[in-house]
Amino acid sequence: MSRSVYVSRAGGLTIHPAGWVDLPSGARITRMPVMDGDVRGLFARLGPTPAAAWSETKGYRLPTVAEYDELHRAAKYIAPYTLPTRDMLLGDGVQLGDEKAIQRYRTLNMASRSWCEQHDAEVFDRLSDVGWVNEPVSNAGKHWAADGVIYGWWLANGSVIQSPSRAHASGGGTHTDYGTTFHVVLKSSQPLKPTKLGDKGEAVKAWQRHLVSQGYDVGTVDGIHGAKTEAATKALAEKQNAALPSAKVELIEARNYTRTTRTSVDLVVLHSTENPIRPGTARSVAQWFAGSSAPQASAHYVVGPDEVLSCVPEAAVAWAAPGANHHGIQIEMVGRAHKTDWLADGKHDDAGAPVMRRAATLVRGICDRWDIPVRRLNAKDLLAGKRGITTHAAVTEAWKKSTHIDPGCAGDQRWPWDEFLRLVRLG
Amino acid sequence: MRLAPLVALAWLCLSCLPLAKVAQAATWLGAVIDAADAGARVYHQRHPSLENERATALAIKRARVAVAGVQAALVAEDSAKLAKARQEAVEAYAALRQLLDASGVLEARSAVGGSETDAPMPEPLSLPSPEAVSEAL
Repeated sequence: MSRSVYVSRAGGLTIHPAGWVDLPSGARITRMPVMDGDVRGLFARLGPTPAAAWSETKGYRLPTVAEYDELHRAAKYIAPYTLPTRDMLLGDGVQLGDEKAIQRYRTLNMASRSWCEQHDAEVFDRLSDVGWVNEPVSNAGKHWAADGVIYGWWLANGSVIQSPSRAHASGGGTHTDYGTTFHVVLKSSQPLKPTKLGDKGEAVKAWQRHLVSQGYDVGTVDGIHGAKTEAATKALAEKQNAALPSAKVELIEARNYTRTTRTSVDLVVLHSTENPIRPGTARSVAQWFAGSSAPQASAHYVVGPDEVLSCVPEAAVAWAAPGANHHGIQIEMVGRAHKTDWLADGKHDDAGAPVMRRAATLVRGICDRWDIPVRRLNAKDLLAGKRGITTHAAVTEAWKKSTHIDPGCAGDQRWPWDEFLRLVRLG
Repeated sequence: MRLAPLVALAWLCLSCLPLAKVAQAATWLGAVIDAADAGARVYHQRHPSLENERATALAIKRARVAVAGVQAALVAEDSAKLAKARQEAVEAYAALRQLLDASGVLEARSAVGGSETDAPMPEPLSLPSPEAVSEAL
C-alpha cells in the first residue's frame, strides 16, 4: 500500500488543533512518524536520479537545506515517535542482511504501521484537503528504488520522499517491504519553464532532463541550450499544441497572448463574457480577440450555447485574469454574472444551462490532459497553492490583482458549483 | 442717415453674439466628446468588452456627427436646421454620457466579468451634465 503526505507551501509556523503544522518557510506537515535522519547527509550522497526528470515534469523541486532542517525539526517535534534510522538507512551501522537490524527496524515499522492504520482516515481527509495528487510520487519511488542506492529513503530530485515504514532494507536481489509507505513532497513554487536558444546553466539542465523524460533527444544534458535542445523544445511544443481538441474545436487564434510552452497548468479559470446568451456570440467574441482591434486580452476558449471555440493554445498563456494567467487555462462562457441563470434551459438570453454543459465537457478534457483535480477552489485554496477549477471572482478575491466577479458574482453566489462539478465528472 | 449703420451694427452684434456663443459651445462639446472617447479607451484597456466598446464607439460617432450638424447649421445660418441640430447634439451627448455611466466608465467602476488585463486601473471621468450642454448650446 502506498500513501503520501504532502507538504504544501502556505501558512506560517502554526500547529493546528487537528494536527497540521505550518512551517515558517510555508511548508505544511501532518502529524506523521518520521525518520530521525541527517537529511543533509542524504543529499550530499545523492546525485541526480532517474526520478529527477519525472519530478521536474510534475513541478516538484529539491527543498533547500534550511527548509529541510526546519521540516525535520518540526517533524520531530510533532511526531508521536521517531525512528532511529540514520545509521540504519545510510548504512553506517547496518550491514545489508543484518537480521538484527532488520528485526529492530521491523518492530519500529510495525508500530509505525499501527499508528498509520489508526490515523488513515484522518490523514487522508487532510490529504484530500491539501489535494495534491499522490499517484506520481509512487512512480518516483519506483524509479528511485530501481537505483537501489539508498534503502528506506526515496528521493526524487525536486521532491523528497520519506518512507519511514516501508524499508528496502535488503539488497542483492532480495527485497523486503514493511507496512505502509508515506511520502513527504515539496512542491515547486516555480513551474518548469522552457529555456531559449543560447541559454546556459541549471535551468537549461532541468529543461533538458525534462525533454529527455518526454522521449526527446537533446544530445548531452550539459546545461547548454543548443540546436538539439531547441529542436526538441519545438517538437514538444508542436506535440502539445497538437494535443488540443482541434477535431471538434475550431481555432480562431487570438492576437494577444503569451506565446510560450507551458509544461504544467494548475488552474482552470471560469469567466462570463457579459453578453446575452445567443447563438453566434461565442464566435463574435473569438473574432474580436483575433481581429485588428483586438483588446490586450484573450482566453483559451470561448463557450457559447451553440459552439466552443479555441483562441489560445492550452500550452500558451492567455491574458484574462491577472494573478492566475501564468498557471491557468481561461474559459470565457457567454453569459452575464448578474443575470444568467446557469441552470435554466431554453433559448432566452439568460438561459445558461446549454453553455454550462458545453463548458463542463471542455473542462473535463482539460483536467484530463493537464492532470488537474476536478474540484472547486475558493480564494483560500488558491492562496494555499491548490490545483483545480476556480472562477475569476475567486482569483480577484485571492490575489487582488483583478477586479472582476464573474461568472457568478462575488463569492460565486450565482454559480452552481455542485451541478457544474457533477457535469465535469460525467465528462 | 447716420443712424442706419449704427442700428445695423447693433442688430448685427445682438444677433451674432448668441450664434458665436453656440459656435463656441459646439467646439467645447467636441472637446468633451474627445475626453469621453479617451476616458472610455483607457477604461476598456483594463476592462475590455466587445459589447460596451461597440456601443461606446457608436455613441461617440453619433455625438460627433451631431456636433458637426450644429456647426454646419451655423455656417449655413439656417435657424431651423440649427434648432434641430442643437436638439440632436444634446440628445446624442446625453445618450453617450448615460452609456458611459452605466458601463462604469465615469466612476471607474470595475466591469463585472470578461477577460481582464493588467493595464493600469482607470480613474474616474468627470463630464458635464446634459443640462449644462443644453444650456450652453
